[in-house]
Amino acid sequence: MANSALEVTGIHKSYPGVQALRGVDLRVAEGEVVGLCGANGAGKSTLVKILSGAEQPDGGGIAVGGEVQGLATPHAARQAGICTIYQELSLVPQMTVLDNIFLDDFRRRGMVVRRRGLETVARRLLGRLGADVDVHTRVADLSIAKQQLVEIAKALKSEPAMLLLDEPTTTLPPRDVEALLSLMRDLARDGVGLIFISHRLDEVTGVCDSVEVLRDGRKVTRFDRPPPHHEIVRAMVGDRYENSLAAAAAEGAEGKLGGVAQQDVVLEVDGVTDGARLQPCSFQVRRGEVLGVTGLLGAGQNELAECIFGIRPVTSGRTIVAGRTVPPNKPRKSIAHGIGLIPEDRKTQGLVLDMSAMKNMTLASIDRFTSFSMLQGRREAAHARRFVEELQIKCSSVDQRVRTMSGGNQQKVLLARWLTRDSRVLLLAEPTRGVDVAAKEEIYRLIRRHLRGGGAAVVVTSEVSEAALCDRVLVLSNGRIVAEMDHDQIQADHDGFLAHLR
Amino acid sequence: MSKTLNTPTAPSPTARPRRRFIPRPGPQAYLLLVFLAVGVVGTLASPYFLTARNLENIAVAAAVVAVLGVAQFIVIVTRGIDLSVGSIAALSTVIAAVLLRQGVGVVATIVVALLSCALAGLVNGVMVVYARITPFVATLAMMSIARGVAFIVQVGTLIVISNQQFMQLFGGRTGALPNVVLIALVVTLAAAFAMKFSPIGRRLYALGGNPEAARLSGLPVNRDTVLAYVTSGFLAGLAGLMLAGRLSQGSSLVGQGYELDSIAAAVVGGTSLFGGTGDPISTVLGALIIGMIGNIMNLVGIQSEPQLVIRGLVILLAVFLTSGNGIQRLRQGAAGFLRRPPAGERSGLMGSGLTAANDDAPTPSDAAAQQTTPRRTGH
Repeated sequence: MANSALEVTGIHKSYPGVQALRGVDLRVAEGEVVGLCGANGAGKSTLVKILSGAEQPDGGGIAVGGEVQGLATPHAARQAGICTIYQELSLVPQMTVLDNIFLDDFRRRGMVVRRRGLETVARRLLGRLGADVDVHTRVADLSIAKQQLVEIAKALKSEPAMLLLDEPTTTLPPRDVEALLSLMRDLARDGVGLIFISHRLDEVTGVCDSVEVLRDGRKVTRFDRPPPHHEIVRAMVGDRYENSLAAAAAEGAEGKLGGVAQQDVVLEVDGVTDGARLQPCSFQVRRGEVLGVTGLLGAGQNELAECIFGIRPVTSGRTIVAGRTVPPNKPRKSIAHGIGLIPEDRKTQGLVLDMSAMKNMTLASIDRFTSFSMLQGRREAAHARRFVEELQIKCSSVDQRVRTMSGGNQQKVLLARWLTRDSRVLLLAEPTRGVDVAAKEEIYRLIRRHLRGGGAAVVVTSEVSEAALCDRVLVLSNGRIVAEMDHDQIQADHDGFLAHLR
Repeated sequence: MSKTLNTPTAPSPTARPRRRFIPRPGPQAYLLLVFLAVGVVGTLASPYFLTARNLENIAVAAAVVAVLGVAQFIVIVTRGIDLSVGSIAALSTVIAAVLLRQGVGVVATIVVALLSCALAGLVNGVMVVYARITPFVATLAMMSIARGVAFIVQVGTLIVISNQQFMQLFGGRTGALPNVVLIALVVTLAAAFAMKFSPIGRRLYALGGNPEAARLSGLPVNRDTVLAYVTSGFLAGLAGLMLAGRLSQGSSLVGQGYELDSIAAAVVGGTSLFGGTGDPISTVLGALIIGMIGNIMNLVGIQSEPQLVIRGLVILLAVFLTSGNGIQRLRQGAAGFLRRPPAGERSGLMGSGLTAANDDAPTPSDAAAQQTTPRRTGH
């Protein structure tokens, strides 16, 4: 048995109102890739935070390369040999790639910046990742995928013994995911221990030597070799397994999001374009119908959603909701006409993080809870409590700040905002990104509920499997609609569907 | 006052964390603690401190700063700042004095003065929202313009106010209380009520907390921001009338430095300059704390120069305790020092290095989000 790169024993951690970790053990051997799976709130993120030095455990021990370590700060964790790549990148956008890579390591720079030497190192690191990036470009000018590679290069520079990757693939296009996974194998071959967190189980089973599953802050299962997906899902969701559609889908059953479409058109988009990246797009969505809009990363699907909602300036074309033309470029008008947007980035565009779950839910419907110019606190709280229960939002109370809630629950709070407003058309941009399998099913359930209630939905997603759940799918490529297929066509000709993605 | 102790972050009874024996008080509780501590120091320092007459002096002196503090708070909560409140107050005294000298009625005078000041606020708001000038610069310009206009309107030196009705209104008293104190009290309570229970209050907190989210939720972000500056100008005008009543004169020279006093009051009261947090009552408590400290130093006979130094230090301390989670950090630090933990398990001051203000369970990604927010929403 190889030496252990990381040994974690009996880690406990509690937050106000939540016992996040209840005695977790974890061992990663040198050169081993361990997949860490668990539903939202299972304790994954907390464990990562502790290992990266951002949070202190209440009890338990951590040993890196056989040496017991206290990871008091992120810096101490890096010194100890644990580097972490977060889903949200920590680069300075105004600075160049080179400066970012050496941002946390001034020693190499000495009194005088030895640019040439640094450049060589940076190029070698990026080359090892197969990244075609000029070290003098500003990070802000790079695509998200390339920024991610810069982030990884930055971590690799210090030759860490352990590399933690917290959902590194979420924002990457498929080709770069492949590259990253094979890179992880290479690093493991060099003796680095890796912990890999991803909501995409095929990635986990594809790259990992073993898989650990957390549930409710405990380690429930360790698979010594990657098991079939449904076994992981079963371990993750536990008792909820039986009624979980996710598990059914994982076992090969057919899932469908819509199926209740009626005749009358609710949303009509007529030649909408931003005059730049997006060619004129036209389509209709009927009542009770869910339309998928997909494409590879950057194919224009998110731009389309932003144009319809009025965030991105529209140069020509019309959006019509229930027969009435929506004035362009004004989110406020779009909302008044019955469109609701679940934005791609819920933290910066959706939620007021320091406000309570309740206030976030009612934010778009404040008038509804106002009478005689006063907020009806009791009515508002009752409404929020009903939604918390109905949508199964996990929170200590409706007054909990959304900042302290998990991604899936934050997303449900956003959905609750538009359900509260009774929006006719929901635009959902990447609705299940960064959300675990169980919460994903919950979100699908809420979309179904909205459709049965007579609403319509547009799901903008770069997850092909998610798009395939919809009644009808538009495929975008280079800002143009290149294909339209309905659910049955996709089921019959999956390869044909995938072939449109370019 | 119990309202301030139970602001939105307080957990509901059903949600009380199980493993905590004493609920951790919020930042506002520390503010009250500082307030009481300063009171105790004052009582010990001088027998004269706790007399009715002295307390009234403190209240009267703090009343103007309190109203300006509320004005400032309403702008700060939207992520803005209003450097023009002191100048607008001066403009208000001059307008009132000029009109009264012309024999204009008291009511008309007050209305004209307040509307003029609200107009100055409107200009601020329009500059910030539609001309996209940062609040700091837009109100810096207005600070200069308003005082300049006051000079021009005044023509010459200060104008004495002799109108008895006006003096009675802003310089007199009702029952046991001076009218200025009553006005400050009404303004504070009205603002506190509006921020907590009215839709506009909720909208201001939301647009300060995350402007983009507020906009994409369909809130009238532009209109509300302008309204915040108009309200600030209006209240600055009211503070000016209070000053005019106290000094029985209108002068373009009064109110200098009040913009900074009002910011200090808001900040000592726990308001974050990043917007979206704080409340008017805490701001007024902040104004009172600063006022009390000045009073105590006067009673003890400290020279005015060291007074400035001490006041600055007290502001730093108060802000550390209220918005910087200071007590919690001190406690953690002390615990770490006393426990002398084994080598394998270190904790202490550094452990909270990433702790954002008032955060229960901060995460690195939150810290990252906070860093990215201004970038994304900046013009």
